[in-house]
Amino acid sequence: MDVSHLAQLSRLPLTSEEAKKLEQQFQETLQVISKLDEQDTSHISSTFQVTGLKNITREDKIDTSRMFSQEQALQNAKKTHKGYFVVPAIL
Amino acid sequence: MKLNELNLNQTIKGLQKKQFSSAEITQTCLDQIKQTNQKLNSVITVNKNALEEAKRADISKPLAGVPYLIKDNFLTSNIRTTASSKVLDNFIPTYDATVYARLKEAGAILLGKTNMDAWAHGSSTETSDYGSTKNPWNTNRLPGGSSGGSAAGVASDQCIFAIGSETAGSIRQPAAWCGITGFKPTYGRVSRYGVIAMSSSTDSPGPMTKNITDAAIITQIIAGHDPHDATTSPKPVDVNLDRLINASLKGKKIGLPKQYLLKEMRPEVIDIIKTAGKKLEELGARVEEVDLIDPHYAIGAYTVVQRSEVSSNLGRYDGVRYGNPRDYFGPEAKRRIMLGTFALSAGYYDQYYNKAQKVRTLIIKDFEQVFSKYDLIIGPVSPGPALKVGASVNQPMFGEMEDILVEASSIAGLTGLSVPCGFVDGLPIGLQITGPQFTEQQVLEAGYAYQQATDFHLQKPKLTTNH
Repeated sequence: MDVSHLAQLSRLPLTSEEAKKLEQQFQETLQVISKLDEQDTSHISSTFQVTGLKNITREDKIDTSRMFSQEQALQNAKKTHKGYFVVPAIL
Repeated sequence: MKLNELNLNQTIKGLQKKQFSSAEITQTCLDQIKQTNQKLNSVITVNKNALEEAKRADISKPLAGVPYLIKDNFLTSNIRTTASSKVLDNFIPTYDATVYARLKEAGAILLGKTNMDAWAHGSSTETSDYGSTKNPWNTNRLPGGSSGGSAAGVASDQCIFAIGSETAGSIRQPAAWCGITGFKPTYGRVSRYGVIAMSSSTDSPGPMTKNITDAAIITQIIAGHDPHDATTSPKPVDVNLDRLINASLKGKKIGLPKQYLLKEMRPEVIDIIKTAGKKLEELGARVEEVDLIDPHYAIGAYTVVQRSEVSSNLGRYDGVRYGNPRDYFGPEAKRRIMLGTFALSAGYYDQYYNKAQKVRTLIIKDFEQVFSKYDLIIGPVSPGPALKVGASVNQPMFGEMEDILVEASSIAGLTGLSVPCGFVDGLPIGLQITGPQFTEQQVLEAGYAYQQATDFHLQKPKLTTNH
């Protein structure tokens, strides 16, 4: 289990100390999870959700009462610029 | 009795008969919060407009003027919502969770937002970035979690009722540790719209109250299909108060899983649960020991499913559109996000995520098999009474181990409650009553009958400083 790789995939900054501690803690968790291997599930299908519902749709109509104004949409952003979200540089 | 010590039913009747006003009872609750919050740390944000709203309460509405608390993972427009995480320290929602909107429409008065494990990741409330909540029965003890603030708020009469949410134990376990009534409806019975997502296939909002009747009243208001949440059930809500108060347990077959009386459990806890079983028999039910799949499998399945869903759900906190950057996540959140990412990653998906969902199927079938012969299942909610403050620190699997007895019913999406059934070392013990999906009425009826014949739920903590 490559903790630094996981941290990168999860976009979580980690110090090397934190990474070492996490590796240990993950081992503990994985041991508990390994108990699942005791169950024979070769002929069992997965249950991803328990409602039994399928293909729940809504009408393709805009409900203007539920729309955010531009101000509302931007109000919790740390940095905005002339009505835009400011995003960190990627390159 | 002070106004804040009333239960919901008494409050509704008192307000209707004009024995007191909404402003009076709201003020009493706000006073109680002021007096006890430093010790208990159950409320993170108080609603500054609560008293004003109380003064304008419209008496024609079903919950008109009744003051309550809601867990801080429910979005409340214009009132800071944090999920107890510094990532959302300054977040002000621009829309309401459906549960909050329905309670507002029913006239209830929001007193404030309660403390919780950050992102609902826990069973202690210790992972909150705002400090842990303390158990009103003994402030050296934890209230349980993740709805610890709501549980402590109800137990200490800071409110008339509260709202919590459960993914695996987060309503029932703090209810058990704080000696109150906690009800987890079937997954999909109550809308998750506007609830900060933890584990989307199991999250279930529900009431935390002083007794069963109150839980039933709140369920009627908040439950039901919501077009904004595609996982809500189109089935009509079957919760009826007349049938509730005329409930009888005669002829009910109740199973007590042998596997829920854990080896490591204190004998006093086992005795209390067996005594509760005998009480249910006195009320007409037949209680028998049954076999259920070893709950340790549920721990593994739940751990993987939950962390996988968490890793996806918490991906939205990018610090760009809202919230602080991802380095504000606490250690527990980081652990869970990364474990989830691992379980879903290429090369591991089948071994972990898919495997867990297959074991989930086994657990669901196991319950189906038991419920084909029994109406309900009972057992302890928690391996023991409330643990000491600090018990969860550096224990990456703390939550999962504490919730061992409720994880299976949670990932199967069943409905269940916790009612007080005794005390050990002066700390409350909770009895779980669990039923198949959409048997809310039956489960509530059993809880009601039990509370009519016992008085554990009427006991209140003393809230003294010396423990």
